[in-house]
Amino acid sequence: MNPAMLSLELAVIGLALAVLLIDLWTLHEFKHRLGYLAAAGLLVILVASLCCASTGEPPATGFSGMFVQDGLALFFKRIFLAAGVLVVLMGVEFRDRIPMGLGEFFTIILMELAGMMFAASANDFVMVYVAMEMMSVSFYILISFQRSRSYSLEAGVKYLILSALSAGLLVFGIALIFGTSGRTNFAVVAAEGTRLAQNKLFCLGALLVLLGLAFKISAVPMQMWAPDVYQGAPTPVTAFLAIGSKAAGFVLVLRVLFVAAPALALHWGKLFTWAAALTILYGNLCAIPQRSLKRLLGYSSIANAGYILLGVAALNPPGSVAVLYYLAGYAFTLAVIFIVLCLVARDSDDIAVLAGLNRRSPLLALALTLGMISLAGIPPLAGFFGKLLLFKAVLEQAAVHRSYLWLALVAIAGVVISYYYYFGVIRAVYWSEEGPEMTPIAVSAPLKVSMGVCIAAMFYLGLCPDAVLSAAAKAVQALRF
Amino acid sequence: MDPSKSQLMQYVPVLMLAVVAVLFSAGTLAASSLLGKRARRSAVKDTAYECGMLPVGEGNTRLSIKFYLVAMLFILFDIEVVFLYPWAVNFKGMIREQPGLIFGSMAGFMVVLFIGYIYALKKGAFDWKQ
Amino acid sequence: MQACLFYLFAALTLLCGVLVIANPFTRNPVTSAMFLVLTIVSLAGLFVLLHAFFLAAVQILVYAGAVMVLFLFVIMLLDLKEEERRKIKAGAGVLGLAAAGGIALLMIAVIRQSNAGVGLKPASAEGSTLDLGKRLFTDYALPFELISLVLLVAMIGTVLLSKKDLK
Repeated sequence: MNPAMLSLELAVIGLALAVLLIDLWTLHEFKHRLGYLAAAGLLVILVASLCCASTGEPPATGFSGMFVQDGLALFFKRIFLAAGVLVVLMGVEFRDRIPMGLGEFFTIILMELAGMMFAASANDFVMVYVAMEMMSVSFYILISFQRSRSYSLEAGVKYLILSALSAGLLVFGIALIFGTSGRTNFAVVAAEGTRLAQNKLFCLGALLVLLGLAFKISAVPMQMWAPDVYQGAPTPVTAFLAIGSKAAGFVLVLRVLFVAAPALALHWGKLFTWAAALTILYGNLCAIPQRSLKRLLGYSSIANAGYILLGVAALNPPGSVAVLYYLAGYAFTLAVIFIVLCLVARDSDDIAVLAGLNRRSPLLALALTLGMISLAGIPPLAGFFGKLLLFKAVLEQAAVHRSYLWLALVAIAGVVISYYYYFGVIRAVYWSEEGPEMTPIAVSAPLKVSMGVCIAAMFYLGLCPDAVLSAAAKAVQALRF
Repeated sequence: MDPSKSQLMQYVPVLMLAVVAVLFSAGTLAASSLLGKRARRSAVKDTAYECGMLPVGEGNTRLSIKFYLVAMLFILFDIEVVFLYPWAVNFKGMIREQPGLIFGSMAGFMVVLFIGYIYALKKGAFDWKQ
Repeated sequence: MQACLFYLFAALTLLCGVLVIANPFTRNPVTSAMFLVLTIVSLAGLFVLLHAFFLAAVQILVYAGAVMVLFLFVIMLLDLKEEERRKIKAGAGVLGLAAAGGIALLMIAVIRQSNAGVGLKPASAEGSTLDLGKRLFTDYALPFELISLVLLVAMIGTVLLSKKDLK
């Protein structure tokens, strides 16, 4: 038992409780300052996690093997913390559309963040479930936060029902794993992996756990919720769903597959190949006719889950490195896009609101364009290099199994399809008839800085990948293949 | 007899009570329909007896959302109390060997929920009149 | 005797569970809720047979007691006449049945093919309150603390989403 191991999580939880309590004695007009307090606190925690990089080496487990602090956990915790800062700042900008409970909005975002950080460190199926519940319960509230807007409530109810279903699958899977192995700890389950991999009931359990996790990453067959919920949720929450929830889902997939059941993962290449291919095709094809920007990003998020699944399907270390790298780049790319949406798509998020954006605010137009270029995977931005790594990992496997070749072809087809709708957005920004609303958009200083940081990070990850790549390579040492 | 078996035996009276309850309610229903005098049924005779008031309108009127708030808060604190019970059972045994663990775990749990209580109180969640 | 009781409670659980969602006689949600109570009570019976006495008691106190009261409150909050009039589409019903049946067949096949439970060590601890508490406050201390945070978030959410005029 070593509470110092939890220092990052405890700091975030402490910050959340502090914001909650201070909010009770804060006048309404000063409540947005709580957002700045939360963002500043998270920034300090993020810097602290970067400075004390030694904590991940060697990996330490604690709390009866429930919690593990290793390179993989730290890599993801940094992504979550960075995403948390950006989402809280977006929330401050969004405050005029949150009629009440601004302080709670920040508190629950911080709690959500703590849940994601615990998920990154989960080393036991019980922890997986509790961390997932922490994330889900927070999201139920965040998604339906604009309770006078029926879209928001509808999205909240949809998320509640489908998330409860997926949690049921997850728990059933955990029960089967516990029933066949007698344990829930990843290391203990993995130690008996070869024997358990023969047991069909255990395989079914692992499959159900993965299905429960597929909901979080919005991969086929658990992708139905994404477009509706992305559209209805308040924009900062959509950003957190797209960045944080997805990354948390992927770290759990990696851990369950390559820490808890490495013997099983070897045989499941075909399963992930199919899941990746279907997810890519579904996301990209359904995105084509969309007019609503947030809905478009919902389908794009499904497509991206498919690309990231390529790295999982490759079942090799370069694949997992690519997953980590892609998620890091994806976080900054989406953050910049959602910051722009927060400012531009005020009353509606139809693509028409972008008309004349380059006249209203050249900065926002440029930021959105760069974000779309990165999502489309065009050099020299982060998305390009991430996709390159993913394709490389898959092609490496194609030398051994032919089926990976057509997976790569499907993925390339998906990327080509995605050019159509990503460039549709860029076209709407620069080459569309001017809309009725032509007033310049003021951008607050914190958001300007965060957009600058995101764009810089996108270029950095696209041009000088070495530092992050070596960090990701170190992180995947926690996994066994 | 091994101890776990004997613990299970303690539940035999519960089972007996359940059986008696089912038999009694089924028995009275059966007895009244078998022994009772059949009368002609009419719509008026089948209405519920409401102290002379005519039962008109829907049976279920819509409640105020306040009830939901109170019920939900009740459940949350109820779940908290559920955890207190095994804690209390273990307290005496564990306080010697692992005082920090048994005390600290519940203290942490309580502090977080106490903050929740302060929050609900300050927000007026327990205020019925508002 | 125990095997008899197991089959009795298991059958009751399944029967009442089906009646919760597909009662052929009525679509009144209150009836469904009452069958849910019966499902929960028979589950508690199964827990007792598994020597999980504490769990059985909690199942009845919290689920059959508190959660069901909440369900009934929510039923009375909503305008259910609308819901009762709604027709279930035949296509959706068939597809839903097919999906549920497919999953059930898959599970039955898997359970039959794997000799479930063979080679397992007997449970390391009995299901008594004392043993359960000991595990909860030592090995599972961290998840236990996290539960308090989940409860706190739920409490904030309840107040936020249902308080009429929030300060």
